[in-house]
Amino acid sequence: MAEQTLQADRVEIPDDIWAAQAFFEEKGWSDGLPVIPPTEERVAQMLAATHRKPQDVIGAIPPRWAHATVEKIAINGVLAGCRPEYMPVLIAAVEALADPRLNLYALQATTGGPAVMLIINGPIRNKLNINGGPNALGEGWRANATIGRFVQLVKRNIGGSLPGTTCKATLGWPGKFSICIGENEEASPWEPLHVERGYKADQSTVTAISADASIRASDLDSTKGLGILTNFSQKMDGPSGPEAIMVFCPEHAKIVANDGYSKKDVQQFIWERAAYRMKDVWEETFVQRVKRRPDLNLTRESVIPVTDRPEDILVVVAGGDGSQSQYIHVWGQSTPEGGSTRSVTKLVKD
Amino acid sequence: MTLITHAFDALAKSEKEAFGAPDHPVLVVQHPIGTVKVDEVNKRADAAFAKLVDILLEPLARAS
Repeated sequence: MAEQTLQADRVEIPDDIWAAQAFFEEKGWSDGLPVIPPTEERVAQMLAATHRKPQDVIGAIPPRWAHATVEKIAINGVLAGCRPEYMPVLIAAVEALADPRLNLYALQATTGGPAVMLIINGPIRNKLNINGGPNALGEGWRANATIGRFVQLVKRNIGGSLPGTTCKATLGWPGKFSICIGENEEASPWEPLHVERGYKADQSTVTAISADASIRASDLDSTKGLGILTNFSQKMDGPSGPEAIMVFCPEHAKIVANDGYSKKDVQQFIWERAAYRMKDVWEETFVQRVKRRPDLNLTRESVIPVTDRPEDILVVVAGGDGSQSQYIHVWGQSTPEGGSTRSVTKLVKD
Repeated sequence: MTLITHAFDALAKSEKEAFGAPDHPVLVVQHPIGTVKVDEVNKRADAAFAKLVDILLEPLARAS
């Protein structure tokens, strides 16, 4: 089937695995880690896991603005090491990448070097063994590692984002290789992210969001929600962004929720306290902030909240045992128009 | 037209190709501009201004 319908160029790959990897490196099709050769058979297995046709266009990926067809998604899924059953998640991820609200072009072109983080919700997490428990932001789970890596390979191989030329990250960070977590819905006292965004609990979604490296919000002392939130907010002081991500570990989430804080309460509390204080910043920085946000009428006494609105703070629960949450700063500018990038959530369809 | 610093040269070239506009005019100034003094930025702007005017007037010049 696939042999007749696939449109990608066919290339001869050396049988020797090291020679094959050297070939992929030379072609620029690898992110530096070894890749799985996308043979016709493997690509066909990926395509068999979706009802979408190989030449369906899911979206255009910058900076080349090339069309991400289902076939190209399958090829990059194989390269990344994904299993065929991940295909519906991969397609939803590409829908998110291509959504203009995410502004992937800016994320790839900026010297800031953010990753695109994926947060997976719904039953698909358990079906595909997407980790939202211990070490969720770390290594050890194939689905997390390869789906996150797939994003990077789509940006490179379809979008043409190449470090140093079309990807202008000054330093980047390891999350650019792969950053994908499931929300630990089973351990969360709050409604999951996708339900908050209007989906049903039994639906599955992929949320894509700009992400800088995280800051650990450790708190082994507080027994009250007020203490945990106070300490967490202090980790979030500093430059604001269009959105912010609070990854609550289950132990922290439980204490906070038991003290009566809903998600909205958490967002409001953090928004009122996590601050970028203009009295603390360097003069030239202050001048630039004033220019960038004339709508805020900033003075040296001004305090800029971590986001423009409380609801721009994403509250998700993930992780295993321990009192270690994390704050993930979202690259991008808060702007009077709503920010230079926005997270987007897409439904995973069979 | 588009104004960039030279660090974004390759990206601009890629964009022009992607949009099928290889002749889209791009004016390139020295990188960086984010961490240099305002006086220096003004100097670079002054130096680039004549080229900027030429680029903007080029269609008129061609038409006449």
